[in-house]
Amino acid sequence: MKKMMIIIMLFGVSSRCYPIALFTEYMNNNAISLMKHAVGIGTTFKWWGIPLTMGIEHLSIQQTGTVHSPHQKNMITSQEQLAIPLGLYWRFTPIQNLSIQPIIGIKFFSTLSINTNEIDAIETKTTMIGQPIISDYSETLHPSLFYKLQLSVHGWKNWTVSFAKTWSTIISTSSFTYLNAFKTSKKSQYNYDPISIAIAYHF
Amino acid sequence: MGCGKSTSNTTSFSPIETFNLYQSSTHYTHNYDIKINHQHVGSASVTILKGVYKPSLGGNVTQFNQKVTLNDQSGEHDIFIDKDLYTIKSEHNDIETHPIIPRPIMAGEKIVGPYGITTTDNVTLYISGVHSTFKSDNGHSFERVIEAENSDQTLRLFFNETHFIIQKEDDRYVPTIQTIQL
Repeated sequence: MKKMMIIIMLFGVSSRCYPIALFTEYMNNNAISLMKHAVGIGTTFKWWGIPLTMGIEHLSIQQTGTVHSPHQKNMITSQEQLAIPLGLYWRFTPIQNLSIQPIIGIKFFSTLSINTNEIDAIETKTTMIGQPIISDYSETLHPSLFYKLQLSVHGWKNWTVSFAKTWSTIISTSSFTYLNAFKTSKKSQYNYDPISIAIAYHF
Repeated sequence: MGCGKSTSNTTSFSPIETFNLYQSSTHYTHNYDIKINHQHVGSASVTILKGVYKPSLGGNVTQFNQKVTLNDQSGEHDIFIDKDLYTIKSEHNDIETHPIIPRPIMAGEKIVGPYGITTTDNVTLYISGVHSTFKSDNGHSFERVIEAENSDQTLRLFFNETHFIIQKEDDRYVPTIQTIQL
């Protein structure tokens, strides 16, 4: 997964005809602060005539609920993720220098790190008998669909500024053994609907 | 409402002004079955002793003892309660003031106590309704049962004045039920 990300990066940077966009996202409408920050770099290109968008994102997720004390039946541990969004786009230009771009895509995740102190805290909690309640605790993020609506203003020379609204779901599976006997997993689902701002240069 | 079987349950009810935890005797024990994923895995008991003298806790208190046996291993946990049912004390000097039973008992009122099944932490539940009749997981029927659940609906407690704890349900891990044996 990490090799793939480097290849995409080199592909984008070495390109002489694609726009490279740097962007940052912030959550604006969720009741919880799931995401500490999300930044990324992306590009659009056509492959066999198919308009595609691709990128790399760094996501910093903060703990929101635990298995012992879920938040709306969900749990996720603090972690750093690399994400690769891959999508199809359509571009409309209603007026000169302004384009509207709906995007549908899928985002793949690769875990960079997970907070081991938080995992230890989950696993050290004991029953009335003194046994661990939970052991072998782990979490995995699943590829997830996203929908994005982007408004781009083409400015001076090759520069473009874009604003986008994304609708997506972050799905995490927590796997663990309960009372050293019952292996189980629980799926947590968080809506992640950020607004992002991007600045792009068309090489 | 939780997965306990009931009839004539309602979430809007007149406040219940009195709840006498000590009405029957100075000492009683109830025994319970513990099931995980519908499999019998162990047993538990709740013993209430009133008039326990604990100078370190300020005099006479009510001892609320919970014992759990799983896989032939046992453990127990004590809390001590003031007469007013509001102050929970432990012998580790952490004194918390919470309504173990709120009065009056009414929808939305907070209830705090060791209401997990295998854990000892005090958890916060909210009164969610009253069942005119309630059928427990092992088929016994009870009258005028109050239900409380946490904000996540992963913990539920069913209790009444006659038996106090009738059934606990803990869905935070694998569905776990502790239900009274009669």
